[in-house]
Amino acid sequence: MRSYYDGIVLEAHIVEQYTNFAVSVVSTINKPFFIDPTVKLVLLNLNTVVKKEWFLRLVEAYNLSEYLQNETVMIDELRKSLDEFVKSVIEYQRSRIAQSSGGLELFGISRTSSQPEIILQPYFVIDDIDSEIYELNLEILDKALAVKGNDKLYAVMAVDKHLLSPHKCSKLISDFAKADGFCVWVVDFRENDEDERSLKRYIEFFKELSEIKKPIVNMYGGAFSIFLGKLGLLNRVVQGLGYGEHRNPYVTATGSYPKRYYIPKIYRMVPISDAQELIREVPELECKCKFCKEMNILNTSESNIKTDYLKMHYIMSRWNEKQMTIDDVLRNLNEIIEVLDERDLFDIYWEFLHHLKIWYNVLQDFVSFH
Amino acid sequence: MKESKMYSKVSKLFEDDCYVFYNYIIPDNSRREIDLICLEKCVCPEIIAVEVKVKDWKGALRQSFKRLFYVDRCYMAILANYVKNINLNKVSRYGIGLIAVDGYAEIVIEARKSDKILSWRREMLLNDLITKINRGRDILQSSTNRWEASESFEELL
Repeated sequence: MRSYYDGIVLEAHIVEQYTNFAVSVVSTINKPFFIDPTVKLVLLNLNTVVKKEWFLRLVEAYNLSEYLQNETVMIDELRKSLDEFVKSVIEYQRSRIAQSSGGLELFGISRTSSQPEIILQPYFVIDDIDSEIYELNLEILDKALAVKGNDKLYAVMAVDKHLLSPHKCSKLISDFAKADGFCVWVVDFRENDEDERSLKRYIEFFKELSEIKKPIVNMYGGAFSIFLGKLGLLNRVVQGLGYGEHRNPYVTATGSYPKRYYIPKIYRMVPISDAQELIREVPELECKCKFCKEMNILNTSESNIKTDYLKMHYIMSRWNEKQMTIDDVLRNLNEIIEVLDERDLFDIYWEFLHHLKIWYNVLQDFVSFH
Repeated sequence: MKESKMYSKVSKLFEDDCYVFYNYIIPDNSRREIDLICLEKCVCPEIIAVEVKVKDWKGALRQSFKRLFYVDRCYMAILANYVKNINLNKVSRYGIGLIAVDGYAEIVIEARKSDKILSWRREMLLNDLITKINRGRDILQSSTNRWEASESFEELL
């Protein structure tokens, strides 16, 4: 599996909750990594996370306790000591993995020091470009750039979707342009469910950002973002295995891992029952990868399907998408749309299929005009 | 008329020859629920599903289509007043049956035998229904003998 991904992103709260595991993974896979330092702190109001085991450890590491009042980060207080906060978060990213043994020394395994490929500015979700939070993020970026040393410091644009409108996104991009690269998180942007207008704005945003000629990482994206990479609009796409192609910080996810199957030909996750039906109706949707052969998805009940196989199939499918050309993508989309139309399935499975025609139109338009 | 009020009228079409269950939750992780499921009272029973809607025939069609992977035949039941809105060609093409409900329920289009069935899913339902029936029978034998007199097995459960 190691040849099917480029690197990993560790969220700071995971590093704190499962330190030995995180360190061992980084040591073992020997791939580039970076830490997302504030993904769980982006809303300033922290009442949903204060009771978590990792929370106190992060508060300590980031010197956050002085700015917390009633489970909320006080912006005015934070501003007074912004230098210290920024330095702490950046130092955390540099040293947290490098300075931990990961428990490996107990087994006589010495590990080489691991440094993250990039450093992220501390960030909070931006609701608008004239907001206090927006200014705070820019101040943080300036301070982070001042202490970055030889590291590559990426700005993080964690933005609400409405900021993709042409006027707002131009200001956003020019204000953050000074960083060495960009991590983008468009809050709760669901590539599979967005309409044509929204996807076109998404493309225009990345197009304008890519004109700065600095690396771009989409922190939450799926196949559509992979396709944008083929158009030269972004460089890396990050996703949680099986459930992380979008993220909404305003919603607290609970419950166990939802078992879903990625159907490569329609480029999306589908509940197992629906996936079985679609494959039964359209044999062309069947995946022939070694994990799918092992799972026998069509004839196995959900409870007997191994989660690890679902994840490995997903990683492999994503890797295969990365190897395709944009012409392959457009041809495949066109072919599968024709087949699904022929079998009259768009109405029945609309929620899982409607994106296909939208994606095809949007990508085809972009390719034709550029 | 509410959807739930339509159940008993639809049930009458099947209860002489079948055990009928209302709001049957499919025993997998799909969280799907079949409005009425009927198991024939014979040696090689067929399983029949009915999806009931007041007027949303497209919703009923979508649900009915998905039931064809579990059961031998599937009907959608709609209030008689709204049957004229239905694209009957589409319903027929999928092999789904149609029941019109008014003062009573009437089969307008007979359901064809499903050619989509996943045999392991059907078996799962069959085993579950038989278990439910046997459990109900045990309960009855240990209390009264209402079994013979019951109109609908569902009532007894």
